[in-house]
Amino acid sequence: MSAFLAGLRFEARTLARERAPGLALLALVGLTLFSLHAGAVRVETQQRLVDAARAEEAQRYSALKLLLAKIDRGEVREELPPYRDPRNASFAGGGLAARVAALTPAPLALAAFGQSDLAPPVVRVTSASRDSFLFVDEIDNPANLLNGSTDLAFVIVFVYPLVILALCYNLLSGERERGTLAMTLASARRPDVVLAGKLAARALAPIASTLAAVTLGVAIFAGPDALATGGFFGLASIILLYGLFWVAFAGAVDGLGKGSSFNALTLVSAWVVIAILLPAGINSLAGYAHPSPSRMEMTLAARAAATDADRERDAALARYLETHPSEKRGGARERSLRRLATQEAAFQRVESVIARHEAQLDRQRALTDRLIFFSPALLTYRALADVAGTGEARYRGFLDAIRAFHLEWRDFFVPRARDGVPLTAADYDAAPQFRAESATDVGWTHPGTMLLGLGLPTLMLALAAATGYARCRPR
Amino acid sequence: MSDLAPIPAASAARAPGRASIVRAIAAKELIEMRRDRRLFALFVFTLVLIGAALGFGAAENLRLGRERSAAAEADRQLWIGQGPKNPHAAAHFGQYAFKPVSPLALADPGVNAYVGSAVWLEAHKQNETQFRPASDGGVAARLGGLSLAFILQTIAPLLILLAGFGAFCGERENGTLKQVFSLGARPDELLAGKALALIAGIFALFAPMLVGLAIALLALSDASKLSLADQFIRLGALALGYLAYLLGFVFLTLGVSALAKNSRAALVTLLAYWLTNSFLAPRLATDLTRGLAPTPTAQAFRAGIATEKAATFGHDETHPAFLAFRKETLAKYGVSRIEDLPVNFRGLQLRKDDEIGYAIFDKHFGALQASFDRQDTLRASAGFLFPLLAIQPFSMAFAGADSRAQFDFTTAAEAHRRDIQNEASENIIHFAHDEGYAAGPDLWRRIGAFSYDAPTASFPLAHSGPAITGLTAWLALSLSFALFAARRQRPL
Amino acid sequence: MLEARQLTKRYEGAHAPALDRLDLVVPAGEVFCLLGPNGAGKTTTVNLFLNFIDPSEGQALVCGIDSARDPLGARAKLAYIPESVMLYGALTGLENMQYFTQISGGCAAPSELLSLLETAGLPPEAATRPVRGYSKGMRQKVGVAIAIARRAQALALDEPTSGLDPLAANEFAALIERLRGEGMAVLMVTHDLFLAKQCGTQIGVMAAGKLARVFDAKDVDHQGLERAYIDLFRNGGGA
Repeated sequence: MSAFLAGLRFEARTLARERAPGLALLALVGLTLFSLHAGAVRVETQQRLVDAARAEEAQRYSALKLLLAKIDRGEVREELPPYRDPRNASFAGGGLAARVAALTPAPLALAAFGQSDLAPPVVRVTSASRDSFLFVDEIDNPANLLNGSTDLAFVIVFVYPLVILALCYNLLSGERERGTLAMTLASARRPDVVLAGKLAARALAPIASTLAAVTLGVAIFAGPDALATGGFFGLASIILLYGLFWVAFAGAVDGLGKGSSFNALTLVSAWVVIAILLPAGINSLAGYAHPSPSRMEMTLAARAAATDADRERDAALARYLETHPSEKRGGARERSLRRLATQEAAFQRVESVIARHEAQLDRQRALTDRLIFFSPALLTYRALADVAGTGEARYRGFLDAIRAFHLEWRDFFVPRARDGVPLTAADYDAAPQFRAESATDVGWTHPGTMLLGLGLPTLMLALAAATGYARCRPR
Repeated sequence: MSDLAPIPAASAARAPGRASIVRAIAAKELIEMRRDRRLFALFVFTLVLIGAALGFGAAENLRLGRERSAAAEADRQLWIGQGPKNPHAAAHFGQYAFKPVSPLALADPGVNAYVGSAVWLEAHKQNETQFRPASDGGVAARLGGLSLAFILQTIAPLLILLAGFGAFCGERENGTLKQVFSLGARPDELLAGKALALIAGIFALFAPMLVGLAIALLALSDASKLSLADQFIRLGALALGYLAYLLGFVFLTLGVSALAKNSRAALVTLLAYWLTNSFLAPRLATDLTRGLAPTPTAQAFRAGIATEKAATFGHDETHPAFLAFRKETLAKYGVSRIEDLPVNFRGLQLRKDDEIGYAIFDKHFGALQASFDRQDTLRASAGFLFPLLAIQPFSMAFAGADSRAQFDFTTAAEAHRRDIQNEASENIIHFAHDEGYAAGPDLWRRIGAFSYDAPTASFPLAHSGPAITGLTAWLALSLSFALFAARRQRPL
Repeated sequence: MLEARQLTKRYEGAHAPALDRLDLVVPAGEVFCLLGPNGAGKTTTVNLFLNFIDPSEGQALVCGIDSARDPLGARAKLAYIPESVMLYGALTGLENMQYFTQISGGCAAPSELLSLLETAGLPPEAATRPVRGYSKGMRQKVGVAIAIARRAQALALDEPTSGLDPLAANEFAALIERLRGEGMAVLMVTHDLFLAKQCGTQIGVMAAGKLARVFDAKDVDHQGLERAYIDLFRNGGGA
């Protein structure tokens, strides 16, 4: 152990006296803090969207109830069109009284943008089919979405390994080329332990400074409370594990006993393949094998349902008018019923299309889940988004919660609309509320995957590195 | 040494041309590159990647093309299949407009994953496009797929700098530079020769890619729907743009190699720059443009339109603007009651309301696109320093896959929506004599389906000013840097 | 011909100049050998003639051309063989030869170059193998062949025989002798007193950036030269 510590101390002192490693570490720390700041700005924007939507809902509800009270008091003279009448259950449930389902940013949301810039955090649930409200996008410049932002996940997955590699790639080869390796091997009783100590110093520097910067940044930008969450423990573990993976990789390549330039080129190539090419390849392959469904099918199904329902309604109305010649064709009652009929027809068909689409997307995800083991970078990226609560898991939880709430909402409004019962202020108070938070807990959903996909290769590489170090020769 | 006969007279005739010297240098560099097994393997690997990207791109384009034309056909049937109803009800049902896939999007899908491809053309209202494919893709998909543009923008520069980082400093370390200089070779000639060799390498990648793309274009584009000649002009522009991008990397690599203390320093410098250009600059540019030229939130944008639309009457017959319009119309026809009008008043009312709406939508959607444009210009303005910021918008523009192309599509779709509204209102004005008026399939058939003519290559050219400036400046700067560095260097 | 006039080179941070007001003339058809301990300024002199470094003062003239003013002009008249001729490992000896002749502005058929390489002592079967497997002696021979192909009027050699076996060194000396016979002005830096005596026409001994003594090769035998060299440095005449 003392040999290990001696190596560690000596290497730490050497590192401290060189300028380049210090600069690289400083840049890494700076970028980490900047990314957390950018994340905090993003979270604030998201939170504002949610707040604004909730405020809008509250305002809309009080306006509706006010109008309702006026109608009750007989203060509204002219006849309201059904689509503006707060008493009309068909139109109220279908839009006027739409309920906001919001996904508030998780405590560590600043760590990864994930899907948060694409998936809308606010959905206005109505009794209509889901295609009508589920796909309302937030506005953003598509070029911004394409390029992504400087979030912590990016810094960790792409920049952090490069700094680790820059510090660790030539431990053995550098000593050999300077001629000092012969001295080390000649004077140490367990040279491999000394070398391991030196590698530990070089690995510890970037890993520890990144972890420190993340802790500091989270404390500043997300508040010290965020540090006490389980998510933060997950975040720190992922960063540590991913860092160790690259250290072990560098050690394994260095242990092969080739020159520094071989190590540098091999490791850079490995980084390009693992962090850049494999994710791209996996995405392309998954998209090719199981293409994302054409969401237009959903819309077309809803439209087809509408025309069919229209036609049926026309026939029904024609029969009705034969027996009730005094009824007006364009009356409020008829419009409400027509709308309800259209909506119900669309609901059934759209639900089945969405179910088919989900199955298709599940197949795509399953393929990605299998292929993701080839790229520890992709694995880490996904895990970071999960911990931040901006990954697929939480959004799918949100969507599931919306589906459940949608049914609840319909159960409340559709019977009332079918019966043509006018809504009252009491109905407005009793209308279902969206409580999604329990269904959309933030969680690190794949710790097992992570250990298997990252821990196992790390162990194997570390073993290779140890063997290489034990066998090293001075030239 | 036994043979003391006169030494044979070699090189008695000094070749005057510097060109032959440059050629000789280039030839030697190419032989060295070809015999460097690792470099060669890398080159072959890149070619395989190019093949894969072409395949994925073509398959995706085919699939999207089939999907969208099928959807357009299905939507047409729904439109025509409407029963007899009031034309305005039909206008509410509306049509869908689907964006045809640009053939060159197989090389650069650009922002296609981040914009909707369908827009609902309904009464009263210009809708935003729907269904961004990226929303379905998951977090992993945000790291992007394998496209030709990605390979050219990211992998090709890496290949160049790995092939060229030792061009000068490597020879200096080997001691050959000393000899080369002692022979009287000029720095410019050395630079030109080494650059030529790297450019030859680029062409070796370009040639199969261009041939593959040309074949894909010929096979996949429907010549009846778009001009093949125009696609080839776009392809030519793309080739020129990428040539400028990669040429800049050739010069930068050689310049850094000439100035660097040793090849390790050159490699580290170039890799750091490559990383910044490929990954850091685009993301920082996003954060910066979002801060400097913010775009409205969806809620603010929709509220802005709603506020202005509230000034119009729509179907609200108690609205002051409605009352004013009724008075004006009655006066115009010289009658005192709506029933006495020779035409249908409801049609007139719809037409008037739409006309006011058009101006409002033009203003707001135009302003939204202008805010995107401001961000894009800002992003491209650093293109001379980090050329990815210039080549990316250039490439997307000529591939027909940028936000401008999207805007052109939505504008065309909106024009079609207005045709539908206008025809429906005209029909009501002239034929609706009572409340129960219903038009039939004849009218639905007469109102055409949306068909989109993508703009010609002059359209991206007109909108690529900042990107072209950036690329030109990048090329000029890197060339000047390489000349400066090559002339300054010493062989020791 | 090669001429140094008050040629001086000071390196940054060094307390004494590496070369101190050197005056030196090597006429056509002469071989001037520079002897001296490490750090005496021999290699600096050669580098100044080639303008690999700029002089602090004075001039290095190659056939009357100031190498600092017109490095390309000077280099055109001056061939150079370094201590260790470095070649491109992936290329064959012949390909290296072709490359170097072409970039010096010459052109020659491969057969001519092959015979030049043979003249320099490199067997033809070796000339078509990659240089990676060459010995140092073989690489030096390629260097000589390149120098011959240049048909330059002057030749600068920087310890060309260090590390060569005696036979190879002897063959090398014969080559130099032949080039001198053809009217070349040769400046040769060496540690090898024997070689200096064997092919030099004048022998200069450098110490601390100065030319401490110059012998005419005719007037001194090998033992005499060695004694003079040892006396010079043992008596504090130099470093």
